[in-house]
Amino acid sequence: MDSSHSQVTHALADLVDGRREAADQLLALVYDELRSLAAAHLRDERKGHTLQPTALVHEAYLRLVGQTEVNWQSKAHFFAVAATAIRRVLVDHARRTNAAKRGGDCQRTAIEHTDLSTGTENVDLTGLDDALDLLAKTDERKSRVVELRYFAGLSIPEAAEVLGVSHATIERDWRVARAWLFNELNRDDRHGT
Amino acid sequence: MEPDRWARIEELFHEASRLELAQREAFLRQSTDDESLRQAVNNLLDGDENATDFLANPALGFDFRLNEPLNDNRDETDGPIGRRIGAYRLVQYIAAGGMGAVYLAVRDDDQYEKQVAIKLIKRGMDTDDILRRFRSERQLLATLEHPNIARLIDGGATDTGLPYLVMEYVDGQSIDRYCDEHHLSVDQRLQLFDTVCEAVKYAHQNLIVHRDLKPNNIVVTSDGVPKLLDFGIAKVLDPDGVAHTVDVTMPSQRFITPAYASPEQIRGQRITTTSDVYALGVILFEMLTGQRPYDADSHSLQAIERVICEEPPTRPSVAVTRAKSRSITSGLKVDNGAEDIADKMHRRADKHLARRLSGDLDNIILMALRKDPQRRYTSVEQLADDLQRHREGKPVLARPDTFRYRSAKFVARNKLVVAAVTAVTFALLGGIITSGALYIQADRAKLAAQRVSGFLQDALGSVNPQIARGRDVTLLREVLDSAAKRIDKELGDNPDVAATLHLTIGNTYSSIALYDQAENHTRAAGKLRRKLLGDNHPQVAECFAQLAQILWIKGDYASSETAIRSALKIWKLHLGPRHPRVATAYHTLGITLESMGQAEEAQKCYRDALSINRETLDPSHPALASNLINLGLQLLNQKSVEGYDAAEPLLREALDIRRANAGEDDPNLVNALVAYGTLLQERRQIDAAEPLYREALAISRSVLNPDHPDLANVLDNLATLLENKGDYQAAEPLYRETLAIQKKALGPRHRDVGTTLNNLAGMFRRAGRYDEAIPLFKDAADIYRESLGEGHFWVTIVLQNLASSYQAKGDCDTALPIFEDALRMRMALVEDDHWRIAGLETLIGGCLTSLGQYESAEPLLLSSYEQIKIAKGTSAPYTHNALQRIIDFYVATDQPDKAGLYRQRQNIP
Repeated sequence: MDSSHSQVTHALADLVDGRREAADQLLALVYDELRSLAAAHLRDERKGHTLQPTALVHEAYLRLVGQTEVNWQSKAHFFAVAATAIRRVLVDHARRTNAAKRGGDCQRTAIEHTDLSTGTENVDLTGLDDALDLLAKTDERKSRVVELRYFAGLSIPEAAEVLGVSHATIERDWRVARAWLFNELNRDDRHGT
Repeated sequence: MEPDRWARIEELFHEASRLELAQREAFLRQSTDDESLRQAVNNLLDGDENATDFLANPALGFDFRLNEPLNDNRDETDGPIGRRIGAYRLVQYIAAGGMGAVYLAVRDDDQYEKQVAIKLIKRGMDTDDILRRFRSERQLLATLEHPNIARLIDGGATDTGLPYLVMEYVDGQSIDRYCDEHHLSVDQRLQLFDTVCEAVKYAHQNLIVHRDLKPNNIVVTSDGVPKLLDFGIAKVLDPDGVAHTVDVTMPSQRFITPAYASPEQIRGQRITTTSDVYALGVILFEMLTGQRPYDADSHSLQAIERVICEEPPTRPSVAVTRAKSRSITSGLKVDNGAEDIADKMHRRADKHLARRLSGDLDNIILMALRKDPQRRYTSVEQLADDLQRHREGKPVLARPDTFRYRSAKFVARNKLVVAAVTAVTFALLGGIITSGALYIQADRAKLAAQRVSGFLQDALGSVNPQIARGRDVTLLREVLDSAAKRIDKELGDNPDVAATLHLTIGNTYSSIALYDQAENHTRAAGKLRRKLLGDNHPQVAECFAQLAQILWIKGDYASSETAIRSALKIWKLHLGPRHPRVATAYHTLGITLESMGQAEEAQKCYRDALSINRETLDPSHPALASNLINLGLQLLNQKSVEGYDAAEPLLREALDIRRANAGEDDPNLVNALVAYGTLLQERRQIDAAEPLYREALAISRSVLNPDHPDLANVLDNLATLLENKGDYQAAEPLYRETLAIQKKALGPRHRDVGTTLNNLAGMFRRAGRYDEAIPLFKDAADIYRESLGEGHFWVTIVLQNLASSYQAKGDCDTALPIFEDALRMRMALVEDDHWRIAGLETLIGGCLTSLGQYESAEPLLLSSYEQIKIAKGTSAPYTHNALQRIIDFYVATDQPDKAGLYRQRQNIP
């Protein structure tokens, strides 16, 4: 715990100093923590008391970094990184699962077994991932907004704080990004749904 | 795309989206001549229209919007006919329920047209949870292969994110309509009901509780074959069974039909197989009388719930004569304005039916309908068997409900539960281990193991382990033994399943008081999980906590402490410092520390546990009462006025909580009664304490085995009280009974035997019967040394008592070295200035006085008196006695002035 604590603090400091490669290191640390927190909450909290992913992110943050001596900037980084972490893990998982499905026998599995997430069944994650990359080329902020909202579960005000823009901007970004991504994922020339 | 163009598309999109649909095209044409730009904006507008649910739930899937008002008015059940869902196409609407609608569907991707029923869950339900639960349940549900159970075929989410379930389609009528329309006789109805029971029994054996049995879920085909629908679905859709109680503002959320819901379902308590027994009772009631047990139609939801939880049901034989709207004998609907003759005929038939129902069938149905799940039939099989006995004209088990719940039945019932658990354990453990090793996938074995584990815990949770102790558990033990032997051999490839089973088996052994086996299996589980998950995993903590409790019972306090501290550390790490689980660990740690004589540390733990639980739990939660009792008793043990004052509100609150939660003759009440009684007794309010002890004793005698150790505790307390009252004659036989029980139940050298010997000896000493007291004190001291360790604090107490007896007898030569032994041991245990040290010093001072060793006696007497006075206050008996010894000293040394001086202090209150 202590060692990961200081690792996170260091990685955050590196990030603030502009060393982007620290992000990868942070991803692994943060994601494990998020998963174990999520697992603990799922097991122990009664229905209706389950924490939102946002709360998980907050708690993970506090537990990993502690409340002292961390400026806002690194907190924003934390959320940004957490969002990317969740995106990467979920998408990698989806890619693996898809590969396994393609490579496996033809028997139809009605519900795929996944030990991750619960809200992604009806979203083509690999397609979403590609589409987000495409969107980022034109409009990186919108891609970030989707990451924060969808993968880290941040509310509009929270996302606004992390990205340092107004609520209205996030709302507009979110709406456009969703509409655009929806179209992108439902294009006729795409394979599968 | 160029940024400028993209910015322009966005801008037009936002402006257009604020307009009515019809005005948008005109607006866009006005704004730009670039057709491809307009097309891009239109595409985005379409996407916006269609993306309503898209990405709306965060990927990690904690959907919270269930708690927000539903402002989504679209009705998904409207017009989905023809729509494709998974591999199926919806062809016809069948019915609507609280959670959505059911459609007839056919496979869409195939030549053959297989019909299925699809339950489409409507928007607003917690989609993600449903899907998650569905995934965890479906493999078990898929194992239900029974001719009278409709199969669950598939499930998933539609492209707009609505969960759906695909089930075998059954064409037929609900069982109540079928009975009436086919004019079935009572015997035919019972026959049909028996088939239903068989199916439910089969599901229960596979650990699946229906949770929502009702006539509409039992469909009879035209061939007369009943099929049960929706088995296990209720758990997927609404695991806590709460939807029906939170729907006051959202009637559409109603899920479980309250008319068939058991009181425990209404109250949101644990649902078990006996909840299905209750629902079957309601269904049988309705099948035989055409009525429901309660007049539920005319009330509000709250009123219905109150009636179900509180009011006794009408007897079926009475209900049938009140029947107005329907007559079972004709199966015809009878309007209020029906003809006289028909009416009379029905009435005569109803009377005939009433005679048929009164007696056995009344008793059987009412037994299934009892409010307290523990007092119903323990299984569907029992209900079916009793009906079978009735049909064969044999005496039935069901008896009219007596007002007072007799203890004999309570004990008998626990026996039955143990037997039922034995049977199920046998089937399941055997099944999992064999098939887990040989045939089925690890995932399924794991799920099944978790199910067994949950089932055993539920089932055994309904047996009071204290009561199960000493009962006939031979068979259960054999089953556990044989399962235990096979785990490692046959589940080597599945260490996580093996670990779960080890833990469950350990817990089960513990419930039946086989602690060595319990310890071994719990340790085995912990070892496997640590290897698998690492040292700091919450699942490892679970093993540690269970181990700590077992070790504590076994008396291995040091190991117990280590184990519970490990659990505490892990839980704090994973759950945060203020989690109820953390409180539980603190509580256990407190008990362990207290047993090791570390009173102050223990008190701190109890306070921590209490403070967390006060923050996190309902004020009437039973766990709070446990915290309060332990902390209160700890404060009592300080034997100070402040301690008593601090303990009083805690123990009173504990008693209030327990009384509020208790049923009649509830064993849980005993500890609270005894604890509060002890406080009153310590405060010398003996008359107030006695009725509490007597109530506790009455409960214990009625629900416990006559040789149960908990009964001994209560007897010991009452004996002590009678002793304090000076009624030695009444107290002695109670002490003797206590001793006999403890020796038999716990073994002749158990520490509790030592305690009772000490107490009985103490009474003899008080009564001046020193020669009877001395051998008992000696015996007690030996037992404490053996069971608690040479230098344990309690050993010093008994030694002090023993020495005092010699002293009182006038044998100070023997007394003095014993006192000194005790003092030496005690100084190793507590601080030098502790009043417990001073307490011994004043006694030694008295001894020295008697032996004429005045020079050593005086300073000892004076300093110890001052210390005791500071610690206990001037009015405490200890202070009084210490003062008296000083006076005795000055009298003995012929110093009347000083004696007089100290005498004056005696009068200061």
